[in-house]
Amino acid sequence: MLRIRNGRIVDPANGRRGEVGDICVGDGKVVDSLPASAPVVQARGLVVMPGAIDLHTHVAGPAVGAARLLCPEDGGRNLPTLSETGRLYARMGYTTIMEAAVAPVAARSAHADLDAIPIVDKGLYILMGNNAIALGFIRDARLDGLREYVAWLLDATRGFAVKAANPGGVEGWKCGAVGSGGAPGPKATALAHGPGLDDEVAGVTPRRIMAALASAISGLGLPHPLHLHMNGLGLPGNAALSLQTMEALKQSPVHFTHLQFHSYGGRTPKGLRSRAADLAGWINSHPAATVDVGQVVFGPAVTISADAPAQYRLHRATGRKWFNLDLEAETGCGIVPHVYRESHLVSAVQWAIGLEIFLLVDDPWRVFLSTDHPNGGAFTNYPAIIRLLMDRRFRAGVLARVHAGARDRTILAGIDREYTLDEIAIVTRAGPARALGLANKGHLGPGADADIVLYNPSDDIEAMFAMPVMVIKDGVVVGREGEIVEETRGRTLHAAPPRAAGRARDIFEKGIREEIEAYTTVAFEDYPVPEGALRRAEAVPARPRD
Amino acid sequence: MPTVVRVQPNSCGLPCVPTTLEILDAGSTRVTGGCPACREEAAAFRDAGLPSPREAGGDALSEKIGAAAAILQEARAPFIYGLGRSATVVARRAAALAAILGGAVDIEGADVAGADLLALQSFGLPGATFGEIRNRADLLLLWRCDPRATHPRLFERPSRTPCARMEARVVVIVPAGTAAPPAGAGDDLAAGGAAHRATDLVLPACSGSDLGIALSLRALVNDISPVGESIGGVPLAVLRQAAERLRRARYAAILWDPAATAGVGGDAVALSLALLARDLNRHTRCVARPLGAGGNVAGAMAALAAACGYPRAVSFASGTPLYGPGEHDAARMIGEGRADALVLVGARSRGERPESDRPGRRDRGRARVIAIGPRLPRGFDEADVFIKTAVPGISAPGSAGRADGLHVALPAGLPPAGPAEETVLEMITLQVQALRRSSHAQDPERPDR
Repeated sequence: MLRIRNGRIVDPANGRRGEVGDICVGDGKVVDSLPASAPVVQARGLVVMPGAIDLHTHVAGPAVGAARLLCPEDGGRNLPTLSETGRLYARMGYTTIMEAAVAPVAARSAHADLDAIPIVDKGLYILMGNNAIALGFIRDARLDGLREYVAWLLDATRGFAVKAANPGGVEGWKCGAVGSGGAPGPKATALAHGPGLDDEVAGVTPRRIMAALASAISGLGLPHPLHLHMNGLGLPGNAALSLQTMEALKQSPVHFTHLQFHSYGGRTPKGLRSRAADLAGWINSHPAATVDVGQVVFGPAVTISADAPAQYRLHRATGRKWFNLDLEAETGCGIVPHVYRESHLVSAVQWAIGLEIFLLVDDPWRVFLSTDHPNGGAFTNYPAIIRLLMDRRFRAGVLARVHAGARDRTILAGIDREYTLDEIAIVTRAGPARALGLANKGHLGPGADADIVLYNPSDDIEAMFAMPVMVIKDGVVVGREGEIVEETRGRTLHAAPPRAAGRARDIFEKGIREEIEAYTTVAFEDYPVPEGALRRAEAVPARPRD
Repeated sequence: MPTVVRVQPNSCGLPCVPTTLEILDAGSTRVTGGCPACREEAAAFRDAGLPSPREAGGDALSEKIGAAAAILQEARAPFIYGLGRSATVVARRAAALAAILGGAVDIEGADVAGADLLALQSFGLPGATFGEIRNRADLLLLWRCDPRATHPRLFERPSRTPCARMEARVVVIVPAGTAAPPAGAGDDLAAGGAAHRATDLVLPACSGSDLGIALSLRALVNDISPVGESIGGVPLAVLRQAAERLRRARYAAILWDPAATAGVGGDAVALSLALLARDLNRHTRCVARPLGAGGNVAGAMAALAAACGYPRAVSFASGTPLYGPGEHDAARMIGEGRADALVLVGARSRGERPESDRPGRRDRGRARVIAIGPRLPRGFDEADVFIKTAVPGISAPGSAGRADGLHVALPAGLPPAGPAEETVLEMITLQVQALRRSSHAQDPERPDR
């Protein structure tokens, strides 16, 4: 039991915008009241918020493992060890994180990694946008089968959500198809350029893949909609394809991830300019859509993506070392270390575009803080980004010193908006919780998980968010003044999709066994995450819709 | 009645046909299926069940744990070694123990993959999992290896996949003078049987010529012509043919045995092969993959990196993990006698270099030895403490990393003859921590080692 007394409570989900009050904690949950004898934490003058949520990060699984092998020079800056990952997140007041890209066949090892990350609750998104079996269902227009497959796959992998990364494009890169977006030049460069929305790859088009997956997810009532990494990541001029894609999916709830990397105008890197205003405008007029930003931070980064052709393009553009892994007819993986430099045109424009998206999307409930860790930079930069959002003068100062392209090719200089504390709580807590369908997170109402952070309000916003006075996870004080004082074990959150029953289920699984044994070299028996492998699992129920 | 179980001996590190272990009535064993390495490993299970040559440190497990912890508590330079045949989780536990002890940790077999790791860290590697290679590759370049016979599963295309009817062409690099696989036009290719697939082009390479051949192929795929009529015994015309086939392939895969990149000059060969594959991606798709060091070396390296940031040869002596192949590895720590306490976990050998290859052993007295595993390392019967454990993949469950980075489950078909290795390491860790607390309570001024 714990009573947090007289704090300034910032809990936007419950309409509390800084009024002074108490938060009561019992049995790891927020409760209505406590006996007068309950221990007290004096929070007078402190800001009290729910624990923060990172709904898009890359911290576990073979791709991150490969990045550690590839980049020993990183020294943990962007690729902290598993235990440090949990500690660093918790130290900043983050209590829930989502690993955003795991191949189904790699789910077992990804869960083993997640299990070794202390303190925070976590889950993982399963990649399906280039999965040969899923593409087969879509190609044959067997959408009921696709829905059952999505349910089976999430169940077998204990996944939380469905991710599609460059749908169709990765398969095209592997099988040698050239899309209409193909640039002239060597064949492989054209391959890497990727398909347009209606280009056929393996008998399907990106448009059909995305629509079918979004529909299956909606039909299953999964807590989080399709988590979509669109085609054309990083390409100058990709905003047009992004807008086409968004328009194609406007009937479905979709989360568009790391939107910054998809918001480019121009035709060449030297001509790169922002089209963030167009994309933000579209988001503003489509209330079912949510986005996370993928903000770029200046300094070294390690780019890790299932979008293997995009990573090849980055390697060719920068000349940096390149790791690729084509993965069992399920997905791809590319890794390229990178540096975002203030003095570099492309880096500076990318940095400004991310901030534009934050500031031009009107509704903070639908735009969330991410760096696409470690692609845009490490998650440990979140406090610095919060400062950029809350302090217009500081932002202007940085804009003045970076490459002039950030001023000339974006409209950031003309944006006066400053985020309020309430809005910061929304983009880092309440909004992600709602988008993930986590009813117990992102707020401090009765029944919520007692994931609570106490901050000392300060003019130094970055320091305030980097070093909370206290971090509480499930009612246990785990952090004080930036130090971890207790290392608890977080939950693994997974979806619990409805499955076919009885004979229909048996027949379906027999067919899936044949498909998996055809496409992978892993035995079917070894494919699912076994019962008992997750030491503290929590199913998030589905809400099937007709 | 004989007991028949499916086992997955933690041995070859590749997709292998299922191995079956029969425990016959007389206690003898019969192994079927699998590759030669996995069969040998499974057959050794009988040895694992026999009494050890010497077991010191008391009989009960708790006594042995106490004895091991006492040795480690007193050690100034402890070294944990092995892990390459253990389940992946064991490497995590080993890293945790090394961190507490301020010791070093390395993986048996990691040195075999050292050149390939260096190449990866220098230039990267365009790779693919074995399933992807099986299903997509239309050209295989087999560099001093031919896994078609030992691992047919790597090449058998299931009929359901789109590429099932497309047979891969095969180019092999073999030592000059050896009997090459059947070369020919590949006229029986469509018949199936990957193990019987014909070889389309053979490059008979002289000893020590791998670097020259790799560089020449790379030059040729980049439209640069090497000087001379032959390179390393391979006629230039044949090299041109090989380079042309690589460029024309839709999806080429280059596979090599780690022995091809081991030894003097191995680093340069590994770098050249990685760069050859990288450059080919300017023309077509090409992936490359060393076949790995076997066992769970790949899984242990990944686990160590996830636990402390580095994949092998890590020292915690300064309080923070330091990466030091050549410094914190078995050759130095055991071979030169720098460690004063060894924790050998599932190790097969002492990891030393041959006597003639050692720069000079420092005579610091014999290191005390704690051996944890199904059996004592070969040629080693001087353990101060030996804790016999279950055998991963036979009597202990877990998971292991294949050479392509995918993790597979290790089944436990037979009842264990002892605790799992990870359990033993965890118990020792807890005991060491208890000793530290007790020691600190008695003498708060005494620094932790």
